[in-house]
Amino acid sequence: MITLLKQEWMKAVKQNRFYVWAIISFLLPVVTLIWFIPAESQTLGYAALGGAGIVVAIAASVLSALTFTQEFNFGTIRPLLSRQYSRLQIFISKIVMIVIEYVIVLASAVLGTLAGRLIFQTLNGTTGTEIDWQPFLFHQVMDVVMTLFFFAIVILVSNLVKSSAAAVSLGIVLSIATSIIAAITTSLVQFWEPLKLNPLTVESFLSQFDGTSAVNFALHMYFGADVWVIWVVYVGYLVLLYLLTFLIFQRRSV
Amino acid sequence: MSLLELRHVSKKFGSYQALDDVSFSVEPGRIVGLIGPNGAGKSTAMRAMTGLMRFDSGDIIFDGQPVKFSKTKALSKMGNLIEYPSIYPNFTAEDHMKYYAMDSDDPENIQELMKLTGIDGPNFGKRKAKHFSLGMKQRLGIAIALIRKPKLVILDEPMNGLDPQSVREIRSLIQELAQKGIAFLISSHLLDELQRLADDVVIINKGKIIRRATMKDFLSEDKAEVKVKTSDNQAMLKAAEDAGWHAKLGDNDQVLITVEEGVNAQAVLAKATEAKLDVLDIQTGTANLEEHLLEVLSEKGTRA
Ligand SMILES: Nc1ncnc2c1ncn2[C@@H]1O[C@H](COP(=O)(O)OP(=O)(O)OP(=O)(O)O)[C@@H](O)[C@H]1O
Ligand SMILES: [Mg+2]
Repeated sequence: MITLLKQEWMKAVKQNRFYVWAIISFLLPVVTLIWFIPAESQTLGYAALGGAGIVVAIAASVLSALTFTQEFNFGTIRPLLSRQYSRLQIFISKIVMIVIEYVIVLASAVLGTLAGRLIFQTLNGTTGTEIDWQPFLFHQVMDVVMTLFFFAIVILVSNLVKSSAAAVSLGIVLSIATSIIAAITTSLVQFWEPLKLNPLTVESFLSQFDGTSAVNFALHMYFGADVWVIWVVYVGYLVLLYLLTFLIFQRRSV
Repeated sequence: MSLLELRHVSKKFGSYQALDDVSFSVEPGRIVGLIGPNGAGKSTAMRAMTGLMRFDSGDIIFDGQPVKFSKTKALSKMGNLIEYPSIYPNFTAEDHMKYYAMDSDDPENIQELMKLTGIDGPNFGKRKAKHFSLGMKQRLGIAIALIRKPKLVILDEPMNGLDPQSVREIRSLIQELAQKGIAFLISSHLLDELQRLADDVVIINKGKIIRRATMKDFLSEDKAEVKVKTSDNQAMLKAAEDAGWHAKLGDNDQVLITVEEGVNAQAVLAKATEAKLDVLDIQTGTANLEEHLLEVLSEKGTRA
């Protein structure tokens, strides 16, 4: 497993140069927070990671889509699979590396935001630059947890269509349009109650989760169930999606 | 015990029988040529052996373990290059070697192997593989197939795109490694090359194995011919037939006479002199894999 992870890491660095995304995610908030965001909007700027949020989302689509599709496109799927490892090991190593890459890119955006804030503070003083640390950091962790759902869909499509372009575009569309799609599915709920447990609605509501009783109450009101039940449903969807994707990957002759 | 053994392996793509009860084996240190026309099932058989493709029935045993679709421990001792070399475009040749060397506890020395397969020159160096020519990728693919110190190396069209110099280098590399006990299963349409290289031949046609033999035995079935060109080929043909020889007119203004007991170049020469014919050219054709293969395939073709 360690070997497989090392190999995935080598591809992430040398083939896909994922660090470019990390560098952009770091520099963008530095630039925007120092030059483009006035003191009164700084706190909002921190929440949006100085605009790097979008970059992180696009990086997530590109990196997760490439991980599988490029092996098919390069033909390297054959050397990849004709080795002593099981397909499950290879599958897991790829998922783990996608998450690692994502965490690094996201962490760069967070660090860039903090660096931008620090420089802003030295230039303009500290007024308007308060950060509520606990929710801020909790939000980043939630981001990773909720992105697992997004990865599951992109990877599922990658394994179905085997085309980088298609998977990347789907990822980008999804990352921009998730809220729209979720809104549509949510509006359909009025026609049939159980529909609100559809994965997109669950994902979009649960992503509001911040541990506060206000949000817990709102979630309870909407779903008519305790928050932990909704978490269980979400995790159930994740397991189902990854399992389905794995079965497709495992059964494919190449 | 055979290193690799296929027992009654069958595979259908839809209704098309791509492998039909395929059985053969590869012994340690032997170079086996898998030959057959386009679409015969060579690559399909190789994909089954490397765990890349499900097959419908039969068994494949490698190094004492069954090769199963999707997981076989023993595959760590098998190298392969199937159909086309696959590269990561932004990796250099050395990156590829490092990457695949990780799969083994005891890989070949990277620098040495790169030298042996000719991928160490200035042409390779720090260049990315996306800039490589077909032959360069092919040599890299062969190097990758060897990096894990395999017991068996499966090579599908390894000479594809190689220049004559490289063909010769790869040939002697393969021979050298076979001396050390590594077995090779090689498919190629370059039959002259295989004739020089392979110890055994396995012939596949329309998914069926139609012959298994040592190269020596297979070639010895090929009837050698004396090819003679005279001032009057019709008269030469008649003289040969009168002597009870198997003779026919060849394509290149020649008479072809099958070599048999008492029939050889010297006898043909004597017969021509006796018939008062001027001999313009005379050669004895040696056994030839290509010709014999075509012969075998056409026999089987008419029977099928
Ligand atoms: N994935 C597939 N789906 C359907 N048919 C296939 C598939 N792969 C191979 N075939 C068919 O199986 C047959 C054998 O193909 P294969 O590639 O093994 O031939 P080959 O002996 O390697 O030929 P060549 O000398 O051209 O490389 C062909 O008729 C081919 O069309
Ligand atoms: Mg082939």
